[in-house]
Amino acid sequence: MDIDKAPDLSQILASATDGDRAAIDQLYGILYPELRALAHQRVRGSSNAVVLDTTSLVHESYLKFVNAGKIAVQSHKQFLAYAAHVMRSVIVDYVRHAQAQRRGGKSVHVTLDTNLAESIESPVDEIIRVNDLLDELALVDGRLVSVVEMRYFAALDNGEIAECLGVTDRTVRRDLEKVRLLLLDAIG
Amino acid sequence: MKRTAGEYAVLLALLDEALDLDVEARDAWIDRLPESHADLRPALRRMLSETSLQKSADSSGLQAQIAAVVQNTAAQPETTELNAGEHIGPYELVREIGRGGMGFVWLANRADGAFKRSVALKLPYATWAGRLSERMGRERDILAGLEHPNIARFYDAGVDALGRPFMAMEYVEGQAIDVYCRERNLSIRERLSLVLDVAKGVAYAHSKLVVHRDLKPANMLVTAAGAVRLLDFGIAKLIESDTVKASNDTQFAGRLLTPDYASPEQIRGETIGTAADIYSLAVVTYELLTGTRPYQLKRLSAAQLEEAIAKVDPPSASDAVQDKMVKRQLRGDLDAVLNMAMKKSPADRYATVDAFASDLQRYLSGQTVIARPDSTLYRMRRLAGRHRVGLGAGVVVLLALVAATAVSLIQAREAKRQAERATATKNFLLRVFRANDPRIATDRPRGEITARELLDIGSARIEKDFTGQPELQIELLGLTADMYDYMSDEGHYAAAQKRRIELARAYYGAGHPIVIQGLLNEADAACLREDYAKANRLLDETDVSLRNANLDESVMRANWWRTKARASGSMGRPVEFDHALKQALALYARAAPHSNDYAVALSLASLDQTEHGNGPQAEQFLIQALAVAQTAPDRDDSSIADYLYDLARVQERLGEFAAAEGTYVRAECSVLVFPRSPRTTPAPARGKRRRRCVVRADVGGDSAGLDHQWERQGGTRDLCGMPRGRRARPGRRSHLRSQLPILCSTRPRRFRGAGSTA
Repeated sequence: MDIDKAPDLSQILASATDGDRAAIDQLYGILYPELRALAHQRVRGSSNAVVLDTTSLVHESYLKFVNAGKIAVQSHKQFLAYAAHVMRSVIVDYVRHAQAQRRGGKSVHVTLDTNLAESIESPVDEIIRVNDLLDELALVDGRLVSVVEMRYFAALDNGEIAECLGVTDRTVRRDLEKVRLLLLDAIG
Repeated sequence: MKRTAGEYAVLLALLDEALDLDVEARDAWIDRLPESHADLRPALRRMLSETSLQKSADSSGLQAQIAAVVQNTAAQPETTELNAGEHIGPYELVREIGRGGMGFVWLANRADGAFKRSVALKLPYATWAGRLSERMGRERDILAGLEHPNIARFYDAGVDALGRPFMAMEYVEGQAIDVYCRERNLSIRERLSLVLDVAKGVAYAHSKLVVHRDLKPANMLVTAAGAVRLLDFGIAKLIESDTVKASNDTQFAGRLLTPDYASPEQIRGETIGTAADIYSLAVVTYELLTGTRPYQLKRLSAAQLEEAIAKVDPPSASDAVQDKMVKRQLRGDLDAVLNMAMKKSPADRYATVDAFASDLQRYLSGQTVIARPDSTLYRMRRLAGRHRVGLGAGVVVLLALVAATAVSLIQAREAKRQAERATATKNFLLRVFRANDPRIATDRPRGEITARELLDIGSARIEKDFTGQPELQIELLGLTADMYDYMSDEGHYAAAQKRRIELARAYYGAGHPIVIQGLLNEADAACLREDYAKANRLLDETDVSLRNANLDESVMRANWWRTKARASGSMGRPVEFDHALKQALALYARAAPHSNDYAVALSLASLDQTEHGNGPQAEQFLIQALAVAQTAPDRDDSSIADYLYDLARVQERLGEFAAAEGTYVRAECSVLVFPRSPRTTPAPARGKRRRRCVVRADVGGDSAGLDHQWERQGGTRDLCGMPRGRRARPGRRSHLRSQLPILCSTRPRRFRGAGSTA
């Protein structure tokens, strides 16, 4: 998406935080392609040696919107929480896409190295497991889900997460620990 | 292990507890868990042993893996970076024609040589490859089977080699129905005729058991030729991912839903049927006719939105428009039709889209529509339903009532009924005073109609407006009777009262307090006319009713004794009078020690003592009457002022001038507290001063002279604008009463409380 044509995000974020569904839709519609596009730019525009981390994707997308005058600096915290949620969708979609390919989809664009395919077998499954668990936990504890999204999918550090969500550092660590234990339970 | 949300809630709470404990204490803690959690013990043991082993483990491993996945997949072509000429399945992309929260829409050509046609290709962002393709397989054939002139064809759906799902639909060149209507400035009739075309398509799909689930103007296109085409039939169901559906995260669950047109059952996440489409179609119709949506949802939170759609009644379409002409067209039939189609409960809506369309058709051809405006009772029930969940302004009334009566189920129900009555009364009065209502015929300019004329119009409508709701008719007739009473309009008062008693007798039976009290009032009036035969007949009749209704220990029986006393007194039967009054006082003391009725009886007793020259006893009765009246729940300050004046007079006669002066001051104060009429407001201070002078001047004087002065004062007060009707009540003019036949000096005091407290 051409970022200059994007609507003002501060307003949409405020509405989304109030629970306005149309705003949430709109935000998703803007952030999803934006985050994907950034990821692709990054991978294509650099050598394979560059390690792509999702934190920088989230932060960079934020900076792009700031520079385009589409978001107020004060909206940073709200933005991070939503971006992390969208990032989760982006990643999970990537993973499902990868799974679909391994199940025999004919890809003419990329030939995955067999070893590599096997080596990512486990993380792929784990990501899906985390995603499924979060879907379940969304019914029970929305904040906990946000914490995990920000930590695992946007790779923000605990301090940042605590500040964004207005909780203590200890709460973040406690939430992450609980989810880690529940994941163990889910495997067993 | 797959767990339910409930189990997760329990596990999270238990983990919180356990993680606060020292590692060594955890095993014992697990053992101590109540039996209800017994099945969770192994899982907890396993989890908690893990933490002790990997206390410092962090998630860096997972993050690295995530980074790797992103890196690998991002290197592949991007569904969001689509280009013209690219192939998806058997389609070649031509140009992007739209994008939204859900995905992209491209104009595309079928390019596999089978046959050439343009399609609208929907490409969701997400690639929920596995589950979506499964669902697509199931739904595709059904949707492809929909063939109707008002429905855009669904050609194909699938997942391409890269796992990208797509849906191919007939490409329609047209405008969204709302834009079309607006740009062409279509009339109400023309708009309705488009809605009827939409309804045809919807009805057809319903006949094939396909529900649209997302009807909105953007999905209803009108071609340049004026043909209506519905887009995306059944797509919402297809796209809705299991993930999204399973998640109750309201912030994100509604991602695919258009809340402005969604039915209450959709908002609540309940099973969706054809009624949901009827609702959404009605919302679109409402918007096309009024230019606004029934609910303004923009700034509402998810919870508020749910609340609004599920519980709040939107304004009727005619109330939503400013234009007088349009208002007139919408008012009545169209309001009723839309209201019925937008009912909160699917079962209350039209049974089918066809039924909805037929009613619109009936409107267009000038026939009577089937939909009726909500009965008042229906609105009351909805209101009461809202009270239950603690919403709405009326709940304050309800809470006050519930608090006033100790909360038992029966009393709460009564409180609700009273709240309903209060609302009905309010609505009725509002309607009565809608002075600029063009339907009220008058030969005078608006604003010059008197309240009295409005009341005449309103009261004449009670029985028609509240057909089939006798309780409310009775209540409102009582209200208008009271108002006529205040205006001293005997004729209207009697007519309303008579009708009220008739209705109450038919609806509640002869033993109901409204009937009995009404007949007792008639008996009092008969006495005043010296129609003693009638008075006795009415007393006999009510005597039987009270006994049959087992009300001999009730306040109604006390009222009966009091009327009996009045009648006996005016017929000159002192023995009967004494007996009846004693019975009345004794029963009031038992059944209603804090009622205005009791106070009236006490003042009657006081009057009797005065007539017999027993001043001290008369004073005692009045003091008691005041004590009772001041503690009555429906305290009536105008009566209290009357008792005070009476007391002051008695004290004067007894020569207790200091006490009398104090009582006069209190009486004047209570008049100040309770101004009898706006016009008298400047008077009391002046009146008070004068009266105190009068009292002082007469210190030691004879009571005849005092009476003379008093008479003059009374005259002054009347000139000050004391409403005549209020003056013409017993207990108000004790100085005159002595000159009239005993105890029946004026029209008897009525018992307004009887109808509403019974």
